[in-house]
Amino acid sequence: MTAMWTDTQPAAGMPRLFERGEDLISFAGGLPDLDLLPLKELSEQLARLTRLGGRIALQYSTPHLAKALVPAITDLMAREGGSAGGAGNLVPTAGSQMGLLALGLGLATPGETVLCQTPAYPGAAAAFRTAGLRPYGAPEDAEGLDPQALRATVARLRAEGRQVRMLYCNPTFQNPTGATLSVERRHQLLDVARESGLLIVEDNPYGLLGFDGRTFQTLQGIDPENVVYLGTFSKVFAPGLRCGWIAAPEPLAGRLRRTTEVMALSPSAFTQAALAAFHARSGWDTLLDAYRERYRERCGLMADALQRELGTDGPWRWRRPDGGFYLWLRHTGRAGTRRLAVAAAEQGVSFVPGGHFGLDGECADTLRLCFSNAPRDRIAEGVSRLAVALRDAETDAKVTAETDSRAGAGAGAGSYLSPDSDADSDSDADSGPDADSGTGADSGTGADSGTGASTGTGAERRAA
Amino acid sequence: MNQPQFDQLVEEICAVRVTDSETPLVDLGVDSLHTVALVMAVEDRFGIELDPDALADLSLTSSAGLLRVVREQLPGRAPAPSGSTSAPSGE
Ligand SMILES: Cc1ncc(COP(=O)(O)O)c(C=O)c1O
Repeated sequence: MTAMWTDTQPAAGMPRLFERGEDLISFAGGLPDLDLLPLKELSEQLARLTRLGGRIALQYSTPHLAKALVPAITDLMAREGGSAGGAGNLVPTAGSQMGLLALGLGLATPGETVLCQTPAYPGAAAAFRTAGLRPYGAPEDAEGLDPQALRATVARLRAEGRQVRMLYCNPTFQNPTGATLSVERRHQLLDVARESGLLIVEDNPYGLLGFDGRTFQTLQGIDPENVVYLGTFSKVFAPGLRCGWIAAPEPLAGRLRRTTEVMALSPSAFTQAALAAFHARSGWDTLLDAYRERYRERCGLMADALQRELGTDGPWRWRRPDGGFYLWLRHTGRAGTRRLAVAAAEQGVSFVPGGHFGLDGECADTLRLCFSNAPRDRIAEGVSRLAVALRDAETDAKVTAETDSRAGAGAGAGSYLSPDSDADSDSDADSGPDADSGTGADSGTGADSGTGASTGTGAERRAA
Repeated sequence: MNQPQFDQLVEEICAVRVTDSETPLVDLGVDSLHTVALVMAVEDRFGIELDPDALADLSLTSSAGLLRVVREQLPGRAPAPSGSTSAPSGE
C-alpha cells in the first residue's frame, strides 16, 4: 500500500532522523513564517466577528465569494496587474489545492491530457490525476516555458488522438524552482494558447512575495478571458484559515461553483469575513512588506551559506531567486537526491528531493530547499550539515544507481505523486523519456517509491 | 458624525449607493455578511461596542437605524454598555 503525496512517511530505514528530534533543521516544508502575523489585533477582530456576526458567519453559505471579501481580492490582484472582475468571476475555495482539484473535475474530462510546467508543484499533478487527467510536461528552454515548442507539442499530441485543452503553470517565483517567466514570454505564451485553443491555469501563491517588492504582470491580467487564476491567502496571510479563490471567465466560474459545491457544500463565511475585516482595517501593505523583508533576509542567509559551503564552481548549481520560498539545486554530475535526503537526515537537515516535482520522477538530480520558515540562526548550521551530505554525492549516489533500484522496485515508481498507489499506466506512459517534456535529460530516472525521500519533509507538517 | 457622513461610510465599506438613509441595507444590495463587516468597522471607527441584541436583525438595519444605535452607545448619550472600553474617535 503506497501513500498519497501528502502523507508524511514513517522514517523507514532511517531511524536517526527522529533520534535527532528537536535538532532537525528543516528546509523541507513550504511553510510561511507566521511570527509576522499581528495576533493580538487578529484575536480582537475574530472576537468582534464572533460577537457581532457569529450567527451569520458560522452558518452555511452558498458557493459564491462573499461580497465583503471582494475588495481584499481586488486589491491583491491589482498589485500584479490582474483584475478580479466582479463577484460573478470569483469562486471561493479552501485554498488553491482545492482550486486545482475543482478545475480538474469541473473544467476537464477524464482521460484528457493537461500540460504542466515542470518541475511542478506535486499537489497540482496529484489533483489532476485524481480528476482522471493525464499530466504531461510542457516544453521548456533555458528561459522557462517555450511558446513556440508548445505549439508543436500540442499539435503532435492531438495528432496522436489526445485531447489537450489546458496548460497549468506557476509563472512567478515558482514552486519549486523560484523561477519567474519573463513578461515577454507571458505574452507569447498567451498568444500561442489562444491559437492552439488552450486554456491557461495560472497558479500564483507567491507573486506578491518578491524580495524587493517587484511584481510581474499576471497572465490573468493580460488575457482574463482565457486564464483561470488560482489565488490564495495561504502565503500572503496564513494557510490555516484555508481560504483562497478562483478568478475565471463567468461561464467557467459557474461550472467551478457547481463543482466546489459538490466538493465542500459551502465555503467558510467565517474565514472570508475574517479576511475581509483584516483587509478593511489594515490593508495588505504592512503584512506583505513584513513577509517580503523576512523572506529576503532568509533567502540571503541561505544563498550566502550555500556559496560558502558549496562554492560556485562545484557540481551543485543554483540561482538566487528574487522572491518566493524556495531555492532549487541541481547536480551537474546527476547525483540522485533521494539518497542524499537520507544522508542529510543523518546529518540533521531535511529538504525535498527534486523527484517529487517531476511528473513521473524526473528531476532526480535536483533538490528543493525552503528558507521561508527556517530560523534565522539555524540557516548557516543547516547548510553546513547539508554540505556534508551533498559532498558525499560525488562518489556514491549517482542517479543511475537510483534508476537501478527503481527497476528492482518494480512498477510502483511514481506513486508518491499518484493519487492511486498502483501507479497508473497512463501517467507512466505520459511523461516518460520525451524530448519535449521539458525536463530534458532527467526523464526516466527513478521516481520515489515512497520510502526514503519523503522523509525529507521530516517530522513536521507536510510540505506545501 | 451626521447622517450624510455616516451614509458615506456605509457606501465606502459596503460598496453600494445609499439612496435613502432609511432603506434597509439589504434592499440596497448589502448582504448579511457585508452588514457584519460594516458593524465591525463602525465599532472600530467609533471606538464603541455595540449591543448585538440591539442589532438583532442585521439584514433589516438601515444606515439611519445603525447610526441611531451608534449614537446610543456614544458616551454622554446613554449609559455605556458594560464592555465598552476605548474612547470614541468619531464625531
Ligand atoms: C504552487 C502552489 N500551488 C498551490 C499550493 C496550495 O496552496 P493552498 O492550498 O494553501 O492555497 C501551493 C502551496 O504551497 C503551491 O506552492
